[in-house]
Amino acid sequence: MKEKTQVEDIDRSLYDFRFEDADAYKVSEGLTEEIVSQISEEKHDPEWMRDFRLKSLKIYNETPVPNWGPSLDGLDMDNIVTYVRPNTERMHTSWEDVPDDIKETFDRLGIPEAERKSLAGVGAQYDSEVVYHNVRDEVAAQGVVYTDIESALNGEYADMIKEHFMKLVPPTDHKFAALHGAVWSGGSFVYVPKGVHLDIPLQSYFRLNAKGAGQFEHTLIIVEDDAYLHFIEGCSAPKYNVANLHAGCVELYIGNRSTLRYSTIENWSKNMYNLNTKRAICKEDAKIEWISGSFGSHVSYLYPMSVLNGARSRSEFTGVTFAGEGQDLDTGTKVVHNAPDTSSYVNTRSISKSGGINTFRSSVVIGKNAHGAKSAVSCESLMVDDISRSDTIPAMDVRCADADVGHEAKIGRISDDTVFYLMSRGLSEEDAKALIVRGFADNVSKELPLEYAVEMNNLISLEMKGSIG
Amino acid sequence: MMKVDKLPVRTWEWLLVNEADLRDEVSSETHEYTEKLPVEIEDLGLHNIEKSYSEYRTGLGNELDEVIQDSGLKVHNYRVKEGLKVNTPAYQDFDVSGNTDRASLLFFDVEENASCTVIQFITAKDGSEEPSHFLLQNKYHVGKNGKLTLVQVQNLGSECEFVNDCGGECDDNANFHRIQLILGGGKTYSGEFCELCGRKSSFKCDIGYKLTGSHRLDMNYVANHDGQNSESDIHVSGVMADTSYKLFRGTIDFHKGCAGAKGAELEEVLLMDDTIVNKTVPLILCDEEDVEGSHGATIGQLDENLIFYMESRGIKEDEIYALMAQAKIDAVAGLIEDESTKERISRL
Repeated sequence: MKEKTQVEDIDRSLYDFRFEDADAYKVSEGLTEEIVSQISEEKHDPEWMRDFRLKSLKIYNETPVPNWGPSLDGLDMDNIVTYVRPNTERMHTSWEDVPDDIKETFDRLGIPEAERKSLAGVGAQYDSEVVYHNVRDEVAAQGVVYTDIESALNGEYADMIKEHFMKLVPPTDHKFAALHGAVWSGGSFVYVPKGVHLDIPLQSYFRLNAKGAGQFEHTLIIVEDDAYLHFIEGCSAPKYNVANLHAGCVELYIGNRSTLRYSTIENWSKNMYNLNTKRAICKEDAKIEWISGSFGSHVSYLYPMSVLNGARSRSEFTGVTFAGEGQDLDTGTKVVHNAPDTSSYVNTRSISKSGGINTFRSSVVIGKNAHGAKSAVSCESLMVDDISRSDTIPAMDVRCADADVGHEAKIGRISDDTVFYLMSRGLSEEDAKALIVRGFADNVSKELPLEYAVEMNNLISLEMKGSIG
Repeated sequence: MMKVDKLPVRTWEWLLVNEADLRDEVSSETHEYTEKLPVEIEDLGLHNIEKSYSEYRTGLGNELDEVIQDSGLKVHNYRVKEGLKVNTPAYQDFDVSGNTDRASLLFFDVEENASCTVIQFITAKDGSEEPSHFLLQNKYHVGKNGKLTLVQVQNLGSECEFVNDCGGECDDNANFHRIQLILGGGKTYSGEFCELCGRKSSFKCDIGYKLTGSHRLDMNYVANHDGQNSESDIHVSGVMADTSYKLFRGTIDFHKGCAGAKGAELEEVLLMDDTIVNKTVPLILCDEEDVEGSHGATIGQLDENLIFYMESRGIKEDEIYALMAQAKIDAVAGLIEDESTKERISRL
């Protein structure tokens, strides 16, 4: 008879605090043409954007809910508030000007401290609006633009926004891309000029405080040729007993010979439906590096996609997903090889515990002109108890003879022999299992900046506390 | 059209892999096949479709089964009695010549401690390239400690639509081994649903295919683990050339309670032309903690070290590809124990 292990849920008290009535204005629940027009008016959209929103709403209404993936039955758009403006009239560039309750929220999450210590710039969004955005002077002096997307839309980068906004992820992509197109608000715009190499990262943090609300931020990053950027995205929300929705959109344009590393530690509360869409397009010799840690949400659909359009462009996806009680996390990645000598590497780990459901879903498409393309996918799943579930659903579509595609997947439990070995070296069973799980997830933690790797390992350690029962 | 070869869990629609379309009618004309049976295998003759037959799930799925039930077709039943180890294979020949539209339903009941091998050749003897449609459905029940080996060799014309459906159950310590060689055809739908309900039951599947011309091959293979310590191993090896199309769906499904179960699937595909379409969807579904599941796929061209080695022995690159393509088929054919069958395959 094998010993059973009890692994506790993540202690989310760090993220679960909240301030009531921090909003100054919000639209009614539901999704109608009037509400979309109200949002557009509230945000002083140019006319093309107002039309874009209404067209997206039409597409949303005509597009069916996905017939694959976790159940979305608990998500009723009639109960979701799609726009909540916090009690501040505009975005600030100094934390001192941010309202106290909002500032305290980000203080507790450690954002200002991280900005001082290790970031080149920070954007902070509270509900539907960006409340703080700042970039170091020396970074701005290199021509780097890091601002909220609304400022860019109405300022000197208006044409650039119009040229790129939802061109990579069109509203016709799927139902929740259309929803995003209709009600998007907030998010960041980053422009890295040719030849600029940013040694320290930029970070945007998204906090959803309002009960029963949705957050629909848009992140648009353009990295010109021969440049480098590391962008970090964090997100959290306090837990409510009603559904909240996150349907953000990330569009990344990477120039010739440039590299963009996009790191995410997602820790939404367990009432959140996280239906996020992320996509990158790479020109010649460009590289996209996705680092993804998914710990929160009630339901997730999250598959960052890389479109390798330039010869020799590359994609790396490194991810870990931790599904606990009440969580159904459907995560993975998509890669399209659309040019010669492109390459992709996918390395994911998933951990299921306390009845959590993990699904790894991926697709690798090698087009007819992707001669010499190479792709390697590796996914490993760890079942921590016998009430959880873990599925692996990869797909490969190869249409080019001289491609080289490899795929491997493994699923299993914590090895008794390994635990026994570690215990024979003096570790308690709890420590031994915590060490194994941390080691299992180290594909992601070793790719993160130190501060974030520590945060991620702390999350895992919290999981493993009191793990023997 | 009816939906067949359904993926047990759906994925993105744009990949077009969730199911295949098949005409929603089945011929009511039973195919007359020739056979040579060892005396130990009882021929129980043709019977109406019984509920017990319908309850065995198959790879192509429920919609096809429902149409079959309404077709008026009869099932040819075979039995190997308890304790009988049949050393001589049963040979069955299905001649699918042109302008035919027929179907065959077969059921094999291998009782406790019994074993047998069934070898089926599905060929067009007249070499006809006329349109034809043939549905072959094999269902089976393998009793405790029993073993059934089903060998299928397919070499059909380019205008033939062949529906090759299969499914059954294995009791405690029972084994079902399916060896399949797909050498020619127009459109081939092939499925398997092996229910491993018995403790230590096992399913092994070895498939070799060589797709040329515009041959379309659509596959759906499921190992359904319910029994403790049950094992499955699906190995698919193939070569694709010209404008051929292949979609392989392979699923290892670990159900709650199948503690100690192991499942593995592996696909190796050699691609010869840029005009092929090769799709692979290998699933592992896991509702039980104490299992080991793995799948792997290698798709593309030959390893450059292998090519270098062979070229250093004076073999040209196109000859190396031809050799390795044949080697993939030979490797699967080599698993067949019956020498006369191997010899017959070599003549195809």
